[in-house]
Parts: sequence; structure tokens; C-alpha cells
Amino acid sequence: MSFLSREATVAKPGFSRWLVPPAAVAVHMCIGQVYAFSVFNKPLSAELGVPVSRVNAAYMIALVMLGLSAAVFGKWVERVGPRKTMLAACLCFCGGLLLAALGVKLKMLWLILFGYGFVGGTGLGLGYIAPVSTLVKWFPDRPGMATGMAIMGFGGGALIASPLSQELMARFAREWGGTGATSTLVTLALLYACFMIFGACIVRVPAPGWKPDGYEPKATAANSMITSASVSVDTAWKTPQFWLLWTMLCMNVSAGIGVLGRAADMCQDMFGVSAAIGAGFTGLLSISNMSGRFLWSTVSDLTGRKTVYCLYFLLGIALYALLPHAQQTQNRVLFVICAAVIISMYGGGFSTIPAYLKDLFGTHHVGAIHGRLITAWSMAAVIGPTLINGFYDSRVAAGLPKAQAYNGTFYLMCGLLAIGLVANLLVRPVDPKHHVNDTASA
Amino acid sequence: MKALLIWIIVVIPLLWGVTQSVKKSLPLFGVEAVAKK
Repeated sequence: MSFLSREATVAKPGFSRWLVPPAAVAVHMCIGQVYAFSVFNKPLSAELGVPVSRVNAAYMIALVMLGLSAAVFGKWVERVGPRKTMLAACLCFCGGLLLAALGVKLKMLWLILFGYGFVGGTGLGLGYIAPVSTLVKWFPDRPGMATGMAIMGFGGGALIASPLSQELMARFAREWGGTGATSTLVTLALLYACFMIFGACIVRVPAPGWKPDGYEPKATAANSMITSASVSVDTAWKTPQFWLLWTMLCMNVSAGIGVLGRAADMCQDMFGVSAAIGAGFTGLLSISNMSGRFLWSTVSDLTGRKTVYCLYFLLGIALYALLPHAQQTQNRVLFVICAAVIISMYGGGFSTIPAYLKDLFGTHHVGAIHGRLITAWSMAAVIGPTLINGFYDSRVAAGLPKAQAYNGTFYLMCGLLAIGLVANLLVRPVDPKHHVNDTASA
Repeated sequence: MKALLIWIIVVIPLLWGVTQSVKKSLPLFGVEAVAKK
């Protein structure tokens, strides 16, 4: 029996399920580095002598590859289990960082784009979905909390990678000259490899038929939003429920990016504060993003997924609509509180979706279905900033002061969230004709 | 004991990251000096 096989990861009796979330967090914490790629923009631009926008293409490619690889390899991930997937993610992601380091050394932009964007991005997708179905199976009583923990790790990854990369680059630059980017990428690759291998070694899947002590699945009524049956991935993505959830995720992410992507500039333009305060605002939003992933997802176990998404959208609309008022009255505290809650719900949207999928489609292929749904994120990462920046630029071009030009984009965000709300309200239980029989789903 | 050690290994980097972000966000609350350290 191979160490990497699914069979080798089946937990022995007495194994504590609380050892599985750290494995998931270890992997997500590493791949969350992608959110902090912007710290390499200027150093890589200086090393290669190309504009920042061309370097930043590596980040965009990585996010697109995240969605594509999660969608393409979802079924493979379900088949081979979390350990082999985590190691594959480690090879791709850390290999991508090493290729990018080589690209910087040889001054080859295409190698950075291929290494970090294509190869590393594939690792992101694999690493992102690897622990999801495992966690859902270990925590059938609290799937929101379990996936929230892992996906919180992804948000936390950016909090670690950004200051760590800056610190390493500064040290290497002092020691060996240059920007220090090459050595930093190599160091990160080695550090992340250690953590991802650690995660792969400790991860376990539950034995067939295992359930937590004292847990009895509730008998589900025909119209219940939580099913005890399962739907295969090939059927799931043809159902309206899949596309409604896809729309919800896409709208929630697009709306969150509206604040997150321009946070520092927005704070400075709207309130005339210093760059340090603008950066402080970004720091606060990063913490909100991370904590929201765990808190809101845990709340969804108590309220139900549909209710919590209604809350994300309704509260999001109300808070976005308040932001122009905060600007007009120069109420900085109100602005900061509204933005922090909005971003916490942006994070919550990511972490609650696997549990929503589990409720609607069962646990059989939840990782693979989640993988296909992640394409909504890739789409939002491209269309969100394009839409928002385009709208903002058009308002500035029309002669509106910068401080007020943001107000229109906030109403645009309300519109996106309203589309998400309608999609959520339309979600109904999956037609039983799509359910696979019990023997197939075991 | 083993479980505690495993949790510590993943929680420490996260706490370090959160601490860095808290320090970064201090100017927002009017605390410039600590953030610059």
C-alpha cells in the first residue's frame, strides 16, 4: 500500500478529527501567498526592466489557473484523496516559485509567467480544494466551521506572506545587493514545501461509515435544504442550483474586490488621510477578511446557509449604500466599520460555499463540485476590477472629484449584491431524480 | 500532546501574520510611532 494512496490515509479507530483542520490550514496558509504577490511587483519590474503591469500578469494567470485546475482536477482529487493532492499542490506551487526565481535570475519574464502563473496557479487550485471534502466528511455536524477554518488559513496566508517577503527581500538585498527577490522566492518555496508536506503527512480521511460520537443525521424532509443523498459532479453542474451558487459567489467576490482592490487609495482620496493611514486601513481589512472566513461560516451552521447568504447580501447592500453618506459627512469611523464588515462577509462568502454545496449536493463529490464552482472566483477576479475601475475612471473623466467618484462604484456594488441576493432566493433543493444511489455514493 | 503541538505549528505563523497586520493598521487609530518601529 503506497504512503500516498487514499487507503493509506484512512484514519485508525480513535483518531481525533481535530488533527485534520491543522493539515488543511497548513496547506491553505501557504497557497494564500498569492494574495501577497503584489509585494514582488516593483522588485521584479526593476530586475527585469519591464512595466509592473507585465509582471502582475503572473498574478492574474495564477488566479485563472486556480479556477481552471480546481475545475479540471476536481474528480481526480476525489479519487486519489487529500494526501496525494496536497503533495501534487506542493510540487506545483513550490516548483512554480522556484521557476519564477530562475526567471528572475535569467531575466526571462515568460519563465516567471509560466512558473508562478501557470505551474504555481495549478498548485493553488489543487491545494485549495484538496482538504474540502475531507473536512466536510470529518465534520458532518459542523461543515461550515470546518471549511471556515481551512479557508481562513488562505486569508491568513496573505497576512504572513506580505511582511515575510518584504523582510526577506530587505535582508537579502542588504547581504547580496540587488532587490533580493530571487533569494526570497527560493526561501519561500522551501518554507512552504515544509508546511505543505507537513499537512500532507498528518491529513487523514475517515473510515467508510464513520460518524462523530452521538451524531445522527436528521431525517430530511422532501423540501429540506439539507440532503442526505448525493449528486455526482457531472450531474451537479447541469443543475440550476449549481449556477445559482456560481452567480452568488461571483457577485459576492466582485463586490468585495471593489473595496479590497483599492482600499488604500480609497481611504486617502475620500478622507484626505496619509498613505500610512491608507495602508493601515488595508491591514485592518485583511484581518476582517481572515476572521470573517471563520466566523460567518461557523454562524452558518446555526442559521443555515441560505439565511447567512441573505444576510451577506442584504447587509452588504445596506452597508455599501451607507459609504457615500460616510464620505459626505467625513465620518471616518462609520466608513471603517462598514468596510470591515463588508470585507468580513466577502471572506465569509468563500468559506460558506463548500458547506452550501454539501447541503445541496451531499458529500459524495463535494470537492469536485467545489472545484468547478471556483471558476466563479476566477471570473470575478477578472471582471470585478475591470468593471469597478472602468466605472470609477469614467466618473473621474466626466469631471467628478475623486472623493465623490467612488460613490457611484458603491451603488454599482449594491447592484451586484442584489443580483446575488436574487440568485440565493431562487435556490431550491435539488430534484431527487439527480441523486445517485447509496451504494454508488459510499 | 501531539495534537497541541500540531496546532501550535500552524497557529504561530498565523498569529505572527495577524500581529504584523495589527501593527500596520495602528496609524488608522492614530498610533503612528509603534507602527514605524
